[in-house]
Order: sequence, then C-alpha cells, then structure tokens
Amino acid sequence: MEDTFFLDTTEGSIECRVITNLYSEKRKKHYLVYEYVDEKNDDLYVSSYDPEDETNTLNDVSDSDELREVTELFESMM
Amino acid sequence: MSREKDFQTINESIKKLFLAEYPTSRIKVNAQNKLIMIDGQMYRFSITTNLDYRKINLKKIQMKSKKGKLRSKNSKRILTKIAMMATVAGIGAAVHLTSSLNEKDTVSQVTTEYTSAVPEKQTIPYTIVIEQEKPKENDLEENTITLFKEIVFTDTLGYEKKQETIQEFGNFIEEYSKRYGLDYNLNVALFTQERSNDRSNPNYNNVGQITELLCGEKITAPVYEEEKFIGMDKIYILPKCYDNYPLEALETMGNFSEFSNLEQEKIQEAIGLKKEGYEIYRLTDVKNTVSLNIKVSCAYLSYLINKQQNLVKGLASYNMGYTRINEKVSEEEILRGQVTEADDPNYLNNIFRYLTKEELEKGFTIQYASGEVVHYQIEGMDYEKETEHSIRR
Repeated sequence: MEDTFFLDTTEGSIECRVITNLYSEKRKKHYLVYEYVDEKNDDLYVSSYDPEDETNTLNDVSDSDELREVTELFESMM
Repeated sequence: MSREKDFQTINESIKKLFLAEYPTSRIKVNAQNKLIMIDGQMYRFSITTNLDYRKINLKKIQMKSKKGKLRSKNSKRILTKIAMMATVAGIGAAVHLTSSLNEKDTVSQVTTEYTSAVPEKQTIPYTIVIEQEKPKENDLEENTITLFKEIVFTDTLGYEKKQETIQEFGNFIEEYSKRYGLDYNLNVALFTQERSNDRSNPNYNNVGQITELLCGEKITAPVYEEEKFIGMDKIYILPKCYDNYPLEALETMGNFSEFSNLEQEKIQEAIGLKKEGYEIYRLTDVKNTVSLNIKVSCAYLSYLINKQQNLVKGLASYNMGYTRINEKVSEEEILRGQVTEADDPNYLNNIFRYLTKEELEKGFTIQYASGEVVHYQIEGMDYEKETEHSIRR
C-alpha cells in the first residue's frame, strides 16, 4: 500500500506520495523522497528529518552539494 | 512470481532497451515510480503504444527540496529510522506495458497486466523520445556581463588571425559549440586568443592549448542535438607517459612497471573509467589532432562553466585553472583583471577583443546541464570607442 501524506507549508497543504527513505552515512541524516500526488508536477522532492522528532518536521535541503549527494544516494538505491 | 521480482524484471528489460540506445551511459530504472536516471539525470517515463509502434516518452525532472510539517496517520511508519525502499505501488500504478528482449534481442510486447497470461509475442518497433521543449525567447534566463575594463579591439593582424581561425577551424568549432551548448562566436574568439599563429610551431594543431594539466581529469559535458539534451560525453586523458604506447593495448599492458606509482594509478583509473563509458585519449592525440583537440577543448570549457555555474568564472577557469577561480574570486575581479596570480589576468578581455561590436551586442547563449539556457547580455562599456589601430567591421 502506498504511503501518502499532507505536507503543510507556509504556502498551504500539498498531498504527497512517498517514494523512499534514505540515510546518509556521511552526513548521518535521514531523508524522505516524495512526489506530489497531483501529477501535473513531475519533479521529485526531498526533505531531511529526524526520526526522533515528534513534531514531524521536514527540513529543507538547501545546500547544493548535499542535494547532489542525496540524488546520488537515490540513484545508488535504484 | 513475486511483485518485487516482477519489477526487477521490468527494470532490467527497460534498462536493456535504453542501453541499446545509449550504450555508453549509466542507466538506472525504477519502474514502479516511472523513473529513469541516465548518467545522473532523472526522467519520468511513460509509454504510448499502438499496433505499429511503441514510444517511450521521457520528461526531464529535478530533485528539489521542501520544508514543512508532515501530516498523516501513518507518520511514524513514513518517518522511519531504517532506510528502506517504498513498498511497491499497486499494479494499477505501475507501468502497464513492458517489453522484454527475446532470444534474438528484439523488442517484443509481453503483457498488459501482470496477472493475465502472457499473450503470443509480437515484435513491435520502438523509439525513445526525450521530451524537452525548446525554450521560447522570453523564457530564457537573462544575465549580464559588465565590462569593467575597456576592451582594446584587435588590429589588422588580429582580425586576420580570427579570419584564419574561422577558415581553418570554423567547422569543428561550430560542430562542438553546438554539441556542448556553447556560444560559437565566443568560442571563435577564445580559440583565436589561445592558438599559435605560427604554422611551423609543433603546437599549431593544439588550437585550444590543452596541456598536461588536463591529464587525469574526469571531464563530463552535457551533449545537445538540435538544442535538445541527449546525454553526457565523458572524457579522460591519459598521462603523458602513455603517449608512445598504443591505445588498443591499454587494458593488456601488464602492471606498467616502467611508470611511476602515480602514473600507474592514472592508467588503472582510465581502464576502470573506460568500462563506465569514458572516452579515453592519449595526450599526444589530443594535442595533435585538430578535430579531437577542439572537441576536448569545448567539452572541457562546458565542464568548467557547468562546474562553476557561471560563464565568466568558467572562462577564467579555462585559462587560470578551476581551483584558482574559487568562490572567493568574484566576477568583477576577473573582469577587472585583478586575479593577479594568473598568467593572464586580462584573459577575458583578451578573448573579447576578437569579437565585433555586433557580436558583443548580441551577447552569448549557454546551455547548462541543468536544462537552463542563459543569455548573457554585455554592458557597461562604451565599446563603440575604437582605438586608432582597430578597423571597422
């Protein structure tokens, strides 16, 4: 069964579908890769998170090197 | 057969299809999410078919980032500690049509649903179409290069040198400028600046002035056909010590005991990279074969521009080296000729001096690997002012 969730942002709520979770040994960080349920937007999205954080906060991956590493990690999992 | 194994089979089948089309590329497939990665670039794929053809449509996508709060009754399961692949989506969300290679390696349509019996196979031709819209003029990202230092346009000799560049090397410059999304006029000016004017110079064919410093650099550059991105070129130049050995013998030469440890490492690296689809060249061939020289020079320039994400810094890196043009060096410093540690601090102006007023007014257009097409407008100088030696063009 696919996992979906709502991402509540300052711009509103977006329904998303989980693609996968990733973990970076190098950065010791967890990442969630997901897509919008609305198929007009084909891009993938990634946010970092702390599994211990009960507020379910998803954080921006704003550093371009980090984003590139996550993309490579995702590719390696394919 | 389990669902996971089904998807594994589909992934492998689709991967084979793409490898037939892009034999030197790195292909990864995730059929359940309709994703393909070709040389690190992500695409969504969809398949359209009729009785006569099957078309696999690719749309380039990006990985972006968002922040917010996740809201779901399954939040604990979603935000798990253990990295794991997402559970397989239902069959309805998966690829409806797949293909597999039969014994003779032709493409055949297998089934429309995994649960139904496999129908009789039939061979259908296929094409792979990468969806990429040509950017409209007003969609181009505009950027500005400000000329902080006066350009001293070239004299008659310089003008003649440029005309020779166009006559002798123009075809290759045009071919590889298009291939790597670079600006033809800018490249003509760059190669005119770089190349030797002396035909008796043994370095005459080294139009882009490729040096030993490029040996061992993993050069990757986006490739375009009719302005559409089609893949990446990957190039590696062997160390100079290999110049007198045949390229065909690269993988069979033993442990290269006559070379230093570092040289052996580079050669071993080349052997590994060749298997990953890199084009491996000897330095002597790159320096002495004009077409190859211009190809590698343009690929290297594109590689630097993409690495720097900036045309001015990319151009400066071509002459001064990538590490010297780090984030502490600004565009303005480069354009003012203030990178004093460089052999030619005025490198950019020395290229621009070979451009005409019209070419400067037109600006430069560069296609980046990210898909962005950036048009650079030139401003800030009264380049209508000509020196007493310059000619009207």
